[in-house]
This record gives sequence, C-alpha cells and structure tokens, in this order.
Amino acid sequence: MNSRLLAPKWQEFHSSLACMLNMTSAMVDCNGNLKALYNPRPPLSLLDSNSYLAEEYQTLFHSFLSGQRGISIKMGPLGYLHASIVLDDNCCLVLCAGLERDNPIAEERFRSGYEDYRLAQAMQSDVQDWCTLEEVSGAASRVLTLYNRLNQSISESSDIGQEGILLAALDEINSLMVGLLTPESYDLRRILDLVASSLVILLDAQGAWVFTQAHTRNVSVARGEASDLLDKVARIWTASSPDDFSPLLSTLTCNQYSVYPLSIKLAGSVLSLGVLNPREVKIQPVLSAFGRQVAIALEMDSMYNVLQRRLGELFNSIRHGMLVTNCDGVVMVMNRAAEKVFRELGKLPQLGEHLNKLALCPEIEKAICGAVTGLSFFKKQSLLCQETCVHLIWDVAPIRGNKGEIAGAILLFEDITETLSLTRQLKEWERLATAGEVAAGLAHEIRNPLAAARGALQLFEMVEGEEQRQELLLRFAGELDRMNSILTEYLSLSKTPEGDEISPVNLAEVINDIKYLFNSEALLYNVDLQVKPCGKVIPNVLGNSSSLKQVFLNIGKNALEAMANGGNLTVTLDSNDTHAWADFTDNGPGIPSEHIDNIFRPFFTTKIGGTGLGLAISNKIIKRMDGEIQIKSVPGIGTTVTVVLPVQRKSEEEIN
Amino acid sequence: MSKACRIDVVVVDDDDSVRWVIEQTLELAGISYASASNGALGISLIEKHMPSLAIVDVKLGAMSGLDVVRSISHLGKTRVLLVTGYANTIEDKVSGLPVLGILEKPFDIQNLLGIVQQAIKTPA
Repeated sequence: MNSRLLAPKWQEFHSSLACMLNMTSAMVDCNGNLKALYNPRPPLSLLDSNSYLAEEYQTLFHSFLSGQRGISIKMGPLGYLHASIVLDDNCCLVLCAGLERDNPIAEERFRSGYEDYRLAQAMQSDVQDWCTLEEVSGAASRVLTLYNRLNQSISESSDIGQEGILLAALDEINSLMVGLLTPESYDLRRILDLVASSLVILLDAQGAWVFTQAHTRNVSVARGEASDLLDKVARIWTASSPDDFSPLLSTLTCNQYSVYPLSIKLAGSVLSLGVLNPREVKIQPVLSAFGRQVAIALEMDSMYNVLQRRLGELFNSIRHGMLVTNCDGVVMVMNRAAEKVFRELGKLPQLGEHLNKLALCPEIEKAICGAVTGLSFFKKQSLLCQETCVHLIWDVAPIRGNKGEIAGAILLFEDITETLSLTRQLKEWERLATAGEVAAGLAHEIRNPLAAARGALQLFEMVEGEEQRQELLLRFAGELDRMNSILTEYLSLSKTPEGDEISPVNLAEVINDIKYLFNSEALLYNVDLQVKPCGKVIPNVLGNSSSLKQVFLNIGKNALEAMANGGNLTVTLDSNDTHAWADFTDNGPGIPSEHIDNIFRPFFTTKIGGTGLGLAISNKIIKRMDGEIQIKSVPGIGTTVTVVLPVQRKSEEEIN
Repeated sequence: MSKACRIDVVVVDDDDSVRWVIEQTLELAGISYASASNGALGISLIEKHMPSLAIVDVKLGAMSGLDVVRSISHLGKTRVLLVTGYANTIEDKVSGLPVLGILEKPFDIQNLLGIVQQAIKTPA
C-alpha cells in the first residue's frame, strides 16, 4: 500500500477534518485493514480491545471495498451509519456517523450489541449522536470532493497549479465547516452545549473569516474556560448589533482565555458564531489547519483590497456615471462621475440607501425595477431637475451572477446638459446666419420693385399725358404686388412643418398628377418630356403629396427653363429597401461646379428674373419629410436632380 | 430715337421694371440710350456704341455687373454707374475699375439724371 494520503504529513489533516465533522474517521487499506483512526470515539475506538467488534468491522470494511467506487453508506455493527469514501486505489476513508434516527433496526442493533460484543455498560452514555442518511451522504460527498481536490493538488506538477487547487480545497474545508457550523443547522442550545467544551471561532455568515486588523495578520482563535465563554458568547449571540462584539473581543484577547494572541476583524455587519468541537480537545492539529487557511484567507483579503483599489481606479476614471444597486434598488456602488452629478443635484445617495428615497427621476426608478426582472433600457433621456435643468442620457441593465441569476441593476449615465446647450446654441447661430443670408437676399429682391415703384412715382410727377400717367400708376401697383409676392415666398421659407401632414404617398401618382402641367410647359420650351416606367412597383414613401407636387414642379420648371433651346427631360422612379427616389434628368447646359454648393441657398439664382427661392424652399420641404435632394451636373452634358424619400416600412403599413 | 443718333448711355439690368423706369427717365430727359437684360448683351452694346456711360445692375444672373465692368474696362471710353440693392458689399471691389459711382436702390431718378448728365458732359 502506497497511498500518498497516508503519508505522515497528512495525518494532521485527516485528524482535523474528522474533528470538524465531529465523526470518527478510519483510513482503511485496499485489503480492508484499518490503518489509522482519527478523532477516535466508540465504537471504533474500541476495536483494539474488542476482538468481536474488530472482526465485525473487518467484514464491514471488506464489504465496502468490494462495492462500487465513490461513496457507499452502510449500517455497521451496533446500528451506526458508516460512509465509505474510496480515495484512491490504495485506500478508503470510512466515516462513522451516529445512529440512524427513527430506524428501529438501528436501535435494536445498538441495544443487542451490548450483549453480543460484551461491551461495557458505560458506553451507552457515550452514544449521543443521531443522524440521518441524508446528513451522512452529504458530509461524505463533501469529503470526497475535498479529497479529490487534494489529490489533484498533490499530483499537479506546477507550483501555481498546486496552490490554486490547494486554495480550492481549503475553500472546500471552509464550506464544509460553514455547513456544519452555521446557526441555520444548529439551534442555540446545541451551539452553547458545544461551546462548553470547545474551541470558538468567529465566522461571518458567508463563511469568510473575520479579522480585526488586516495589517496585524493574526489568527483569530480562542479557547477559554467553559462557563465564562459560554456566558459571553450567549450574550453576543442574542445581541443584534456587531458593536457589542468589542467588549467580548477585548476579553477574548486577555491571556486568561486565549491560547494564541487574538485579534478579530469585524468586517461585515452580519456576524454569526461558528463552533469547532473536537470532543477530545486536541487543538494543535486543528489550529495548524486553521493557520494554513487563515494565511491564505489573509492573502486573499489583501489581494482583494488591491483588486478593489485597482477596480476603483478603473471605475472612477470612467467619464460616465455608474451606479450599481442590488435587487431591492439599494445603492451598492457608485463611481466618482456619478457622485459629482448627484452632488450637483443635491441628491447624493449614500451607499446602502434606497435609490427611490432620492426621488431622482421616476423613469430611472422604473427602469431599475424593470432591470431586476431582466429588462434592459438603452439610450433614454431624462430631465433630472427642473430648476437646474440637468439632462441625462442613460442605460439601465440587469447585472447577472455566475449562474445567470439577476443580482442587481446597473445605471450608466452621461450628463448631456452642456452638450445640449451647445447644440442649441449652434442651431441658434445657424438660424441667425440663415436669417442674415435671407435678409440680405430679401433686401436685394425687394429693392428692385422698390426702385421701380419709386421711379414710377417720380415719373408720374414728371409726365403730363393722361395715358402715360395711367401706365405709371399700373406699374406702381404692379411693383407693390411684386413686393408682396416676394414676401409671401420668403414667409413660406420659414413656414412651420405642422402644416404638412406626413402620410404614405405613391410617387407614381404624384408624377402622373403633374404630368399634364409639365407637358404644356414642355411644349412651350420645345422640350421632349418623358416619364419613364421603371418596371417595378415603387413602395409608398412618407411625405406630403401636395408639397411633393410643388417640389417636382419646381425642379421640372428649372430643367425646362435651363433648356431654352429645347432638349430632353426624363423623369424616372426607382427604389431600394429603405428609400424611393425620382430622377429628373435633362440635357441642358449643366450647372457650373462653383454654383453647386450655393444652389440651395435662399436667393441664390443665376436665372434672369429668378428669385433664388425655388430650390431653397423645395430643399426645405424635402428635408422636412426626412428626404434629400441630390444634384449631379456635368456642364455641357446635363443635370440630374434626384429627390430621395424614405419608404413606408411594413409595420407602419399595417398600422395605416 | 433714330438710328443715326449716337448712343450716350447703355442700360444693363435684368429686372424689367427697373430697366423700364431708367429708360423712361432717360427718354424724358432726351438722352439717347440702348438697353440690355443680361450681361453678355450689355457688353456687346457697349462695345458697339462706346457710350460715355453705362448704367449696370450688379446682380445680373449668370454674369454679374462687375463682370461686365471688367470686360469693358479696356475700352477706356465708357465709365460705369453701378446700381445695386446692397452697396456696402460692392464698394471695395471696384477700385481700379472705371466705376463712376454706386447708386443704391431704390434711387431718386433726379439724382440718377444728374449723374448721367454730368457724365455725358465730361467724357473720360
């Protein structure tokens, strides 16, 4: 037999494990021979002195070895439940748990055992432990996992791997202990009973170690006189506030009770009491097992601190505000950018405070409630405070744990107040610039009829013939009308979009409606007009049909006027998935490239007597419909003006 | 206006009404003129008649009034009175050109006549 797990250095480990489990454990070799006994208690402790019992156990061990690998549970001599855990090819560990609860056979065996094995009557009082099959199988499977990890760790060649697995194994010990020792599995009386003869360790409810001062790196273990400790621990157990621990801690640190120097860190607000109970107070091996674990835990603790600091730096260097809540909407973490925004609002949430208490913004609160049910909200915009006008653009999404369960919600936001005001200012400047441009154009346009009207009035005074005077008066009135029509056109430039209702429009119908108007004009200009069928169904666009007619007429008229000596004008419709468009292609003189950039500017014209408003207004109309006018022109070849409009999507079609 | 008459003034303006008013004013004052509704025609008239004065609108469409002035400046005979809706954008562009003055619309026709008669009396 050559199992590494039987090497001397592991003896302490097996022993402390047995202590933690509060069971006797037996190491059995592949031939069914008992090799070692840890935390020995009756009945296994009696094997040396009782050959009958030893024989029975030999049979039990054999039956374990002939069974399947892994874990098997059997009732042994005297009705005790035994779990065997095959650790490797060379050995198996047999745990001796208590008597099976509510099992009449077990009771019968236990009772008859005194006679059968000639046991001393005194042993009866030693039997206190009752257990269930589930408890035993649970403990056995945890032990199996633990040993598997250890085995892996031993066979691992690299140091790092070994450490990592050892760490995981120690983790396993920890959960094993927490499972055994947390208040959920023991009632208070039981714990106090155990405290009476045991070692006291403080654990928090999550099973992590609790220390007073991280920098002193001291192990927090105490052993004291039963009655005093019992009293103090009972007091603490009933107290709810962790502050009440302080007096106890100072007492525990006194030499009177402590074997080891004691310092305990109260890290979390939730504290529970854990008890390790080696019935034989064989503390040394247990302490060394703790020592190892605590050293690693401390290492982890300092690593965690470093990680948290680094994470904090990262967290705080993010320009966006970040705030994390738990599932109840309680603020858990928040970065500096978030703090800044909240502070400026005068609504700085405290960690641990419910976000709803701040009355920050109902939309965000609703989103956080939604996020914990799995919903996500992206790119929302909210006005946070009426007086200070803080605009946020934000996302809220659920945070998920390892198993995909929702652990809380994260709020990510950006303060766009400044950006918004900048955008608004830019728009205002743009508006003013356009207004200036328009005003200059308007001034020039209106001064022509003004000059003519003023001249006509002056001439009226100078001429004498009645006929001439009549003509001048007519001219004068005509100039006034002209001024009025210029102003009307100017006003339509700044017309608000409310007037144009957007609805699905069939482009082919619009073209068809204005074709006759075009035809008569084309005849005048000696232009050959063609409306080309495109051979497919053009989807409806979203626009306003009367405005579109106005635009198409304007573009068509421009083309006709450009071809004063005749030519061809072709109108073609086409579409893709998202847009439909109308091309107006002429073979006129084309537009010089230096004019292309100015072509949509109000009052820009190269036409004699043109107002320069036609394309400017058309462009404005099409933009209002989320469309675009594109102009391609090659001087000497011709010009194509394209009006592109978004097509009505399927879903919109259904609604309509 | 007979063909034998020499032409004293050429009017170039694309705005029919303004051109008509100028024409009427010149006619009333008995000044001989020829007129054009665009720059190209205006230039050819000026080159043909070599008038003492050309009254040219600045905003003419494809070819601006300044283009007209530039293309006739080599003639040496004709000076130009520019007519415009907004004078201040044009003033610094006329130096070195044979521009007699800039008349802002709407103008007083007596004022216009005064300038025209002065120009005819004192040729370049």
